[in-house]
Amino acid sequence: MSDNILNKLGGHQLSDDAIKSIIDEEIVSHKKEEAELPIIKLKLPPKEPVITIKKKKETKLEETTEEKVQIDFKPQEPIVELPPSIKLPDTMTTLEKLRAQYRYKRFGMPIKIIRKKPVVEKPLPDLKKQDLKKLKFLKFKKEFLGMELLLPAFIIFLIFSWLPIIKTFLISFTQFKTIDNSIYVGFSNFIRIFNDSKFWDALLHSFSLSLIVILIGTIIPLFLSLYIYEVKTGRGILKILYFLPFLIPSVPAAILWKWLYNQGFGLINYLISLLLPGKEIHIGWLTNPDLVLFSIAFVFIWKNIGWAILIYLAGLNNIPKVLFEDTALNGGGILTKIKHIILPAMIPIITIVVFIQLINSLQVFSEIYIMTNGGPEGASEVIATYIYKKAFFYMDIGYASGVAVFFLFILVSITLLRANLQSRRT
Amino acid sequence: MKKIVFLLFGLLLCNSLSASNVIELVVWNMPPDADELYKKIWDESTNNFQIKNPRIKIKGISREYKTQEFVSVMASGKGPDIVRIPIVALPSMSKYGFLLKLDEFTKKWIQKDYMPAIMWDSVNIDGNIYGIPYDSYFTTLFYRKDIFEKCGIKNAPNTWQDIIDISKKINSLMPEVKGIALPPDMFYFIDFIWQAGGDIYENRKINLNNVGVKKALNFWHNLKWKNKVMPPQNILDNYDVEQFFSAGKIAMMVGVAKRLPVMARRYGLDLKNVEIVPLPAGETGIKAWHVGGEAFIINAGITEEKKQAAWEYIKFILSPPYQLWKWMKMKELNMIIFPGDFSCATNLINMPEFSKVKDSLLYARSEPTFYKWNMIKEDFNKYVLEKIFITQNINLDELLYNFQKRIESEYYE
Repeated sequence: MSDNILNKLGGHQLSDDAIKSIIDEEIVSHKKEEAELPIIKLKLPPKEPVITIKKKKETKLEETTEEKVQIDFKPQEPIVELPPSIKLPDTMTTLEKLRAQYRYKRFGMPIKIIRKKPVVEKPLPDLKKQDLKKLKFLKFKKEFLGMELLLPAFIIFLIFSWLPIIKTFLISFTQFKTIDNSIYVGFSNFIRIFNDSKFWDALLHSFSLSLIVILIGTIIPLFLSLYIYEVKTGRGILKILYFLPFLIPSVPAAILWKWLYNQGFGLINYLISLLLPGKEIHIGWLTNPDLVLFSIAFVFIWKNIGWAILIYLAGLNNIPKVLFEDTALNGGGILTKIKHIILPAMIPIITIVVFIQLINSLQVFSEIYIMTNGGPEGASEVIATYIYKKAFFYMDIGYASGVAVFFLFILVSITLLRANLQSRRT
Repeated sequence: MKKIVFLLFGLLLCNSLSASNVIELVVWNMPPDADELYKKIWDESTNNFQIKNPRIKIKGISREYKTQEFVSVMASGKGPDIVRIPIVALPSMSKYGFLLKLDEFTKKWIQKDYMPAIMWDSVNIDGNIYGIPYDSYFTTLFYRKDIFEKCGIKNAPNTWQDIIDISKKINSLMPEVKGIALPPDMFYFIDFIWQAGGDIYENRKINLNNVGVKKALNFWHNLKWKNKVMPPQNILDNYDVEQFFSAGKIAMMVGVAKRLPVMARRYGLDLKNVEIVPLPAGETGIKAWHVGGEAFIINAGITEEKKQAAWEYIKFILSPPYQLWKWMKMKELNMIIFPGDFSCATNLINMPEFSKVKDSLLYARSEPTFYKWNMIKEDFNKYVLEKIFITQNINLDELLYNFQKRIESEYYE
């Protein structure tokens, strides 16, 4: 009823008398809609549903004992059917029908059938033309207020995010003879990708880097976040310490690590040589093709460990503490907590971290560009650096755009996969 | 009131008319404020030019050539009118239509014949002139006088063997100092190919699978693995080498004189301790090094009027009176003068400061002006030079054969 009144009012500024008259009319129009049915009492109320708890055999674990209970739910006895004289109208929802049936059988309450009458539009009280215009404007403003507010941000988003993507997509079908003379080449840039061994090498390096980042960059932050979650004093300081590298811009961070990794005079090799006295240590962290991806992955993990910890901590804080307390009371240790409480509860969070790490590590550019520029022997050439070099060094802009579009499809597929997994879980 | 409006309108009209007569030229490479002395010279020279050419106004922008920036800004149509770019970048930039052909201007240029042929060769791409050399630098050998003196070495190395012998002597007397460091960069390696009697560019085709390249590659590989006169790092970039030289961790390096003030400013190199000498000759006694530097280019996308004004500016900067004024000004400001700092289109090469490198032009060569050369260079650095510094046991014949095969399939088919 209130909805009808609101519809009639339409959010307009009406006088008190006008509102009162509309409400009165509504009340009167609904009075005769209810039909009373005869009261029929049942012989006996149905029995309460019986719940029995069966204890299973106690199984002893290494340290703890767990009680597993099984609940046998006996269905309620069949409900007495309604007398044939009572027919529930189709306009009632299933829930309403069930409720009415239950009330009738349990308490002998009458079944009220509410017949919905088509709502007759009442003419609006006389309003001046000016007021009507004002009302229309207000209605329009109310409906489009959100759009007004969103429009500037949407335009900026369109110009700076979508326009370059569309432009890149268009360029990927062209080949540049000179900068202002490009020819349409159809799908040849995309076909070329399949015969370009350098592209596949770069893609392999990108995924190898991502694999290292995912394997290490997902597990270490999880354990660190567990540690921070458990620690009682200095939790805030620990969070800041771990988050600090994330705040350092990529370029200075890469320069810093380049020096730490320096083969001849780097701090890391120096520290290792302290552990092995009498030996000169010159490990080529960035100059050994077998090591370089691990070295770069480590920098990436170091830089991104902070936010991963924060996400994990948010997930841990959402787990009800009572579960931990129960486990502790039952003698469960940390391993039990991790296996039976933390891991099952954290799987959605871990999935998110895995996918974010995957997408971020596939896009890594500045660290590699500064530390190795794709070397040694192209062992750290990843897709981002490959696209950059093709576009600005080899001046093959059409093909570079083709590679970028191809890579975009890979990233979009990964994102869709993540969304699909998440929706399935929910 | 009407009078005031008419007066204002008239003033605006006059202003717009006078403004339309002035041609504004956007010029990159203005020294940053931090380089006070160079900035001072720039400001004064710009003022002098504007006094002589009242219709032309110079708008200086403190920005150096960087490939990505340059390509982006030129592609957007908002590129500078005049800029100095490395000579080696000319082939690819001209290929993409950024650079104006300057043949029409240079034909009538009175200083044209002063410029050595080798300098014209380096800016001549497929028979057209795309740049005017601004300065001319040769790859040279720098050595640390203090280290040489400590080790009792009196003469600079003249041959490849001298480099090995001197380096070994230094390392035996000063174990923390290595003889020489070489970055895996074709920019330096190409000199060694020429010194070994090889060449790489014939009939518009790059051939890197020849005896000269193999000899040079073998020499570099031996410096690292057999003679062990290089630092322990497998791969060093140019900045690493400059830093090691400045810190006295290596006694010699190959470089261009232009980098020395940067090294002094950045890494605290004491320039009194540095001597510049021509590169040592190869096994067969061939002296060779390559000429580099920057060239003025004019944006191909500007109006005819601006192109003419841009040419006037270039002519002014490269004119003998201006070059002489600059030399005097640098002396007055006690600035360090390096050979190559002045245009080779003037007679300043006869100045006493340049006596040591005066004959360098005789042995200088220019890099190929093939537009894919930069890409091949990058690949050679990555797949050949880095490889010989990483791998001790390597078959150089096989390496060069495979590389040649790779570039032929990628760049010629």
